[in-house]
Amino acid sequence: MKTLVDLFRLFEKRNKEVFVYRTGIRRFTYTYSEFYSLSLAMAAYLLSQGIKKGDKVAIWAPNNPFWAVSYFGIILSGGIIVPIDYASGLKRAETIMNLSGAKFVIQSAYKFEKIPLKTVMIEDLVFILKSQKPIRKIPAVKPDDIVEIVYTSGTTGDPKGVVLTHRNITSNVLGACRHIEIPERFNFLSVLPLSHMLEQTVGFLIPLYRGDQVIYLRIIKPSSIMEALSQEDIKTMLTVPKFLLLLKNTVERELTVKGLGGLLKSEFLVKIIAPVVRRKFGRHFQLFLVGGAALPVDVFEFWQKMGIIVVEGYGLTECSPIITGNTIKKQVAGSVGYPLKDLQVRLDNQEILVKGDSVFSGYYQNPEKTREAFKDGWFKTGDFAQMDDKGNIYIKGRKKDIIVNASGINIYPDEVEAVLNRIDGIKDSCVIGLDRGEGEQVHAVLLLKNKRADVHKIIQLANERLDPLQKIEDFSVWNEADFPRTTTLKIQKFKVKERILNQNQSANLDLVGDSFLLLVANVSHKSPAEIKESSVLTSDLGLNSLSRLELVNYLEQEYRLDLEDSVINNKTTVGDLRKLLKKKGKTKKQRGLWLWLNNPVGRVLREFLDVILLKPVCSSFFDLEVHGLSNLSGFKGPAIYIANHTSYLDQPAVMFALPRNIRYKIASASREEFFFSEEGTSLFKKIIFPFAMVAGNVFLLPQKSGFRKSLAFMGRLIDQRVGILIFPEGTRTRNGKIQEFMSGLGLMVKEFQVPVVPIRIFGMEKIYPRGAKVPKKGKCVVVFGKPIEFAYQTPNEIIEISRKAIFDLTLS
Amino acid sequence: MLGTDLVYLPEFEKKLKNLELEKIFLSHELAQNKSLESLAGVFAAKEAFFKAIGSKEDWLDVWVEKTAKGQPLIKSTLSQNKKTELSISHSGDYVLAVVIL
Repeated sequence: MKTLVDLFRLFEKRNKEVFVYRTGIRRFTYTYSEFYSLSLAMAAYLLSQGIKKGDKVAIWAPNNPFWAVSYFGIILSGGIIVPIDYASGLKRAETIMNLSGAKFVIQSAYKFEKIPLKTVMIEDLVFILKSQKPIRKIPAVKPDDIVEIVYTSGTTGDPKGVVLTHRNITSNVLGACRHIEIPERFNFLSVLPLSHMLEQTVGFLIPLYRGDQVIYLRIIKPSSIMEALSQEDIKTMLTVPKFLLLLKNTVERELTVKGLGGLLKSEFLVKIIAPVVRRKFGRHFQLFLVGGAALPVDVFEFWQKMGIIVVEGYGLTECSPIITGNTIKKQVAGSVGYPLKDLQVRLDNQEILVKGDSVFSGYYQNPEKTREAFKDGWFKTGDFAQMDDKGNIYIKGRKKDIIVNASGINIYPDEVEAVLNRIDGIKDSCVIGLDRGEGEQVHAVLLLKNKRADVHKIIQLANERLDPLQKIEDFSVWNEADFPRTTTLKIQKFKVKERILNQNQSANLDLVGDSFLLLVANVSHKSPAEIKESSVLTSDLGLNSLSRLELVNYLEQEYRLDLEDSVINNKTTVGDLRKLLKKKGKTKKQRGLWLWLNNPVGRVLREFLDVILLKPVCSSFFDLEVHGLSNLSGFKGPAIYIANHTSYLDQPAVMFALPRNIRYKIASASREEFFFSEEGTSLFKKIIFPFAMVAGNVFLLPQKSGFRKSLAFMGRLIDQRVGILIFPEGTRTRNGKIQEFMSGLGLMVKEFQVPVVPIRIFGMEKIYPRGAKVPKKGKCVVVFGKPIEFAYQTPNEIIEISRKAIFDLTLS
Repeated sequence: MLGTDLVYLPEFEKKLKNLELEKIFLSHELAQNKSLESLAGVFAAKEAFFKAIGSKEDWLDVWVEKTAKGQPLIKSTLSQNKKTELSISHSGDYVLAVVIL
């Protein structure tokens, strides 16, 4: 394998799944061969948009299978990839676009700010590529052709575009793969940004090379990560030290709350608790791959005790990126392992120098910086290290003082300082990564022109100007005349850091210790002293809808848990919220969602009940005539079946009208309020409910609240290729006319991305209309329409089109 | 039932940067509302809707759509198909939404 196109050719014949995309509602899967065709179609699409060989195409989008499709689509179209952090703001993205000269950008509908260039939304690609003919011929590429330009910093300072070729990347993929020695069949969970080489090489290209599976999440939050770990067969995830630290803290906090904190202290008891903790990561989770920043030894040891291997590595974008790494077989605490076999690594005055195929050739259009980066053909990493006699490398210091946050994003202190120093009232500033046991935080140390300046205001102003991912999280004021400096007048950051750490332990601790109170203070723009436990968030602290949303957001990040927006109502006090965070608010379970009904046992049970009970009963009431079944011939896969609603007998009528192979693979929605109303539930309904659930394969769809849970349940049914029958009018008609449709149908179609099959029922309104005590004998006609595929329509358009489709079904 | 919400645009603009929009808006809302005022209007409408029903629910269970004429409609999975009226207005730095259920 010399190029990524060689790698790509491997996908064509592989018949297994490559990507799983979990939206929180559905689980979309893609096989290697589907991925292969999609990438070829993407290349054709880009060519149709005027992309020529050597043109730069930017990707500013979240991780998902279509990021991968875009990646290979750009390579196959002859273009050059320019990945941009999805977390970046518009300014940073535009700087990178300008510097690279990118002509086209793949961006996301979910970013409000858009780059005003030729563009496509990554969310639309699923529809666009469906009708796009793939390119026929895979272009020839040479190992020294450029694959991508990766920018290592953005807004200010000196943005440098690292030019990486096929040779650079493939050699690193092969080298790292051989080095780490990951066992056969390993599924990866992808949470770090694909715009970074670490995730790209180790979390994306290596699994693709090995034929493994990668799991992507639409929204990366604690609950979706934990859900994926428990439901997918995930063996590993690539992450950064701060994430492992936060996870360790969460585990410890949970144990302490349960009064089990002491268990961690004893060697023996840890062995008992470890399997329980490990269980949370799913049955087969084995390994954290970690890089990007230094991993504290105690974090490494904690996970080791829990029985999860942590393999730490070291690398730089310029080296595509892996330089050294530990291996699955052996990890040395505190060391980043030894160099990859194909790389030459040596220490020059303790600085790490690298040479080899993975090392880039230069910065894009920046000969000066390129010259500075090399010394006699060796790349100077700027990081300092020691090597032991076995060749293991221990990082001692990083020249650039990069701060890495929990999502694995690099923050360059000089960029933050540049913004700070332009603010009125600031003489100079020094931004450091300060670790108070929660991982490094972006901490600004300010040297003020006027001691009485409002520091809170300054920080607020700076945060508004900074890219969202560079936010200052904490600050202090430097009380001396100047920072300690070197002879060349550079700030001696390590000295500043040392002093701040000592200071903080004494002075600020009581305030800083209560990070919750500080958050509330920040969001409400009040000083912490004004906030009492009994303060009501809305009326006393003046939180409006926006700041409430902001607070929930912060709390989720800080405490790594999911909060529903509804946690704060107009009576919630600060104390209530604090209690809630401790208890980790349990979410209400939605009733009437029984997944087992759709397994073979449920199916057989239903078929049996139909034969002995439902069929004889129903046929004693109505004669069934079916039209339009030819519209369903050849139709495969799940759909949303929608019918007009005239009678309680509609559901059995549609079921018996459907061919047997579809009938038993459909679940029907029923209004939750029909069975369980607020006024109480009658005994009859209590008895009929479980029977209806089993015999009719019914699930409950609430119309007041809790729709999301039912939506997720239906998503799982669709994943299992079970169709869904709903009566979108919500209630039976009163006058025989088709009523307005419930809005939920529009959301369902958008989320499930399956066709809608319109069904019209005639005659049932005479057999068993609303208000009738017993049914009368009569004839019922069920007409099926053609499945309708939707793409860009809005929810309401979907509803209108669906309703009209039912209207248009006639008896003739 | 009646609900209103007032949004201060400069504040909305600032906070927009740090919010995960996929938790608040449906994709068509972002596609139909490219200006800050109109997106703020959608946000205000959602909040006004929650006030009208008297409880805070998921942001994505209620949404705003524009008709061909540009008139905003408010739709929800929570209102049991009751007729719901929406009016949005902006002036200067403020956007106001009123919802009647």
